[in-house]
Amino acid sequence: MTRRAILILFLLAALFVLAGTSAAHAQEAVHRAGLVIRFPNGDVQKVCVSFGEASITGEQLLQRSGLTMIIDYNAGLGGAVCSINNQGCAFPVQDCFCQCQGTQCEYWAYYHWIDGAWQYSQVGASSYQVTDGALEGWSWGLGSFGASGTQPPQVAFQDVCAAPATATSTATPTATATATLVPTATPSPTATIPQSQPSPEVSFMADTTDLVAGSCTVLRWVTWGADHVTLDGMSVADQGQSEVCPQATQRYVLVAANSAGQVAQDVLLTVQPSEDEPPLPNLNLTVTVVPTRTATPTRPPTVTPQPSPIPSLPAVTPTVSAAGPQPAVQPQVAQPSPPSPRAPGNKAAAQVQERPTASSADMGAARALALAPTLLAPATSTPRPRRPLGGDGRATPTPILLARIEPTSAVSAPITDLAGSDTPVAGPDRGFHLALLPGYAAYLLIAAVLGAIGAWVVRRNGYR
Amino acid sequence: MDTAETFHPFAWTAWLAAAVLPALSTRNPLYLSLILLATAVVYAALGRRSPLAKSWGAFVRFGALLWLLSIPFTALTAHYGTLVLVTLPQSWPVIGGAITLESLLYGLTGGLALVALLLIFATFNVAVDQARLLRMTPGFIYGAGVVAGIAVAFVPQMVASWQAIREAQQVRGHKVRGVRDVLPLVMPLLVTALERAMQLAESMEARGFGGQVVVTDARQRTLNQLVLLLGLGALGAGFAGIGFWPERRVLAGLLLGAGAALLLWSFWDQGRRVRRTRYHRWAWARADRIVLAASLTALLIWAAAWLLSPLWLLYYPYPPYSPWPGFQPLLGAPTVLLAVPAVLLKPRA
Repeated sequence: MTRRAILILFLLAALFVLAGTSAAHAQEAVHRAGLVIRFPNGDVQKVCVSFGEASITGEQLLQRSGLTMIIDYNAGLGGAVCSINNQGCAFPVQDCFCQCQGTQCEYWAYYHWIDGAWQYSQVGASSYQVTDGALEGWSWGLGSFGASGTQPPQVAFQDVCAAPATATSTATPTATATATLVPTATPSPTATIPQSQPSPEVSFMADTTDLVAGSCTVLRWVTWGADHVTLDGMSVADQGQSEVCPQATQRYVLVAANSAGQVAQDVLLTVQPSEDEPPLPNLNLTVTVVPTRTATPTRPPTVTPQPSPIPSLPAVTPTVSAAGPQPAVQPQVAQPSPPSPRAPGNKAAAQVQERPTASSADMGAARALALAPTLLAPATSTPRPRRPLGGDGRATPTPILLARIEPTSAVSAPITDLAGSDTPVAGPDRGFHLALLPGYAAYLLIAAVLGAIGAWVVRRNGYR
Repeated sequence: MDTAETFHPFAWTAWLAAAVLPALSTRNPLYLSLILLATAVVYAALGRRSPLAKSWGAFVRFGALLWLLSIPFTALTAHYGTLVLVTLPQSWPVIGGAITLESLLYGLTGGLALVALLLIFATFNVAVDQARLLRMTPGFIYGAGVVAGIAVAFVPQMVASWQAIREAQQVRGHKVRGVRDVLPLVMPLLVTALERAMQLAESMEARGFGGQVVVTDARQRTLNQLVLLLGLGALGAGFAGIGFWPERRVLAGLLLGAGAALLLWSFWDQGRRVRRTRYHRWAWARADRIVLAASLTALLIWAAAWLLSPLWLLYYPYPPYSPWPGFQPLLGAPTVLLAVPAVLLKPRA
């Protein structure tokens, strides 16, 4: 063996050792960062993303949020975000900055939440490092330096990523992302945040907190010393009131911010289902989820969690014991989505089996598990019909307060639509289709014709 | 069957346009590979017509090398996609992260378009020599045409003389073992390049290059310059208007039209005064017309598809699109027409 070969072997060995150590290292901690996305129609979506590494790029954060997006990689190092959840520019057909031709320049602008205000990012999402506790904003609009652009709404990190879970992790997460968890979902929607000196004060309440589906109540608030006041991401006056008619149990969050910090306070409106809907099955049940998820998720949410009463495999045993008659937060199902009315719960169940820890605000998941008995039939997430790109697909109008905690592996999770909104999800039509076959046959035929001409030409010219 | 040594430069230009448009407008590997195959057939039929033509083989090899280098670059830097092949540790700068099949495919198709373009231009250069192309330039920019012709021929000439020098040194028993051994190759290359430049300058001087071609008086010249300035200004204002005032389309269109008309008039007026004689007019033979018709058909089909149904040409392996390329036989079949020159060319003995 030559010296060079030995050197190459040594380098390869060093590479693998490095890879092994750092991969093991990456599994240790769970960091979280929030994403606030303001869509062209003003809707706001909030997603909490967890990651095992010390820091990830803003682009990775977006990718792991599970949203559908199109990123243009033509510009060399780093990608440009063209579309999020099919809102924006349908890149290879349109230009990535299709609304930025001339003076009017609207695009997906990138912001960081720094010192209580949104700041326009000075670098691209591929170059920016997101660390634990960061809050990142994406806003469709006139992004620019300073305050003149269209900024994402003012939110607190606690709105996006709820307080750390009191989950007791019973199993060590392994590299294959078959993490097992016992998320004890304790409803603790504590509103106040530790404050520094002259931070704003908030009083926020509802006339009634127990509602029957279809009825309404009035939210009232007064704030002192706040510069910005937002109710569920919408900017509101310093004091005021608003009538709300939630269809399902929902939490409303009021955030008052000034230069010293911000205070969030929430009101939980518990909605009892009307009599035609069966009451939720009792909680405190044990469901065994056998995830069929592998390290390389090829298709989005075709994974089927199969709840069975017998723990068949020792892989995953999330025991959810949710106290209280009602989950605190749940995805709002304002417009029932086309596939089935069970879809939200179904999806949330799909969410659970890939989540190593569940946080306290993660009650949607608890509710999903509570719904599990109704899902005993093979629960395949029905893929939604894809919308034409660049269309007017509406994003969810709901504040999403579900913490999405993914396995700490670097594998990007399959796309799961948490919110129960009817945003289209990249369906499984990325795979091979039989409809492609006639085209491929024609291709082979044309290639054969060209090859025959080439062979004839070469023979006639008398090469060789 | 009629065969020809080569075809009319216009026919070849149409062939070039028909081959280049798909290579520029799609990244679909299926169409690109068909274009590549058709071009390779034509390239093989042309053979090595001249020492200058021989040098294009080096270009194609260089393109292939670039392609091979670009694939790992894209694969290692774009960590996007769902079909993860292998995951590198996140702690590694730039390349750390998931290496996906999508990014590999993207690098592959991008490089394929590059190689196809190189091969197309190599074929065109072998087929049409610069002197014939030069004759196609309009009279009034003859000077610019000559300069462009020299510039285009520069690198192939260098490659050709490099090969000749290397062969000559090999005959003398010269072998390249290290950096020192390159010197006997580089020095003659520099000397020949300088000599060729001097020779070219002398021959151009002898033919009266740079003399007064356009017979004008001062008034006409000023008018022409003014019209040229106005035309360019109107064109610039029109393009700016499209970008900055998208609602005033009519004004921008008028400006663009006026600018183009002024420029065309200025060119026509200048060209009118240039009297050039042609030593040899190219007669259109039947084979020339067949090549022209076939190339224009392919060009029109592709241009129509490009304008009417851009989704057919779309290929972007990253989500949310599919990594499987689609194929429309209607769009793929015209590539056979690009191989027509190969059939009609006279075989080399």
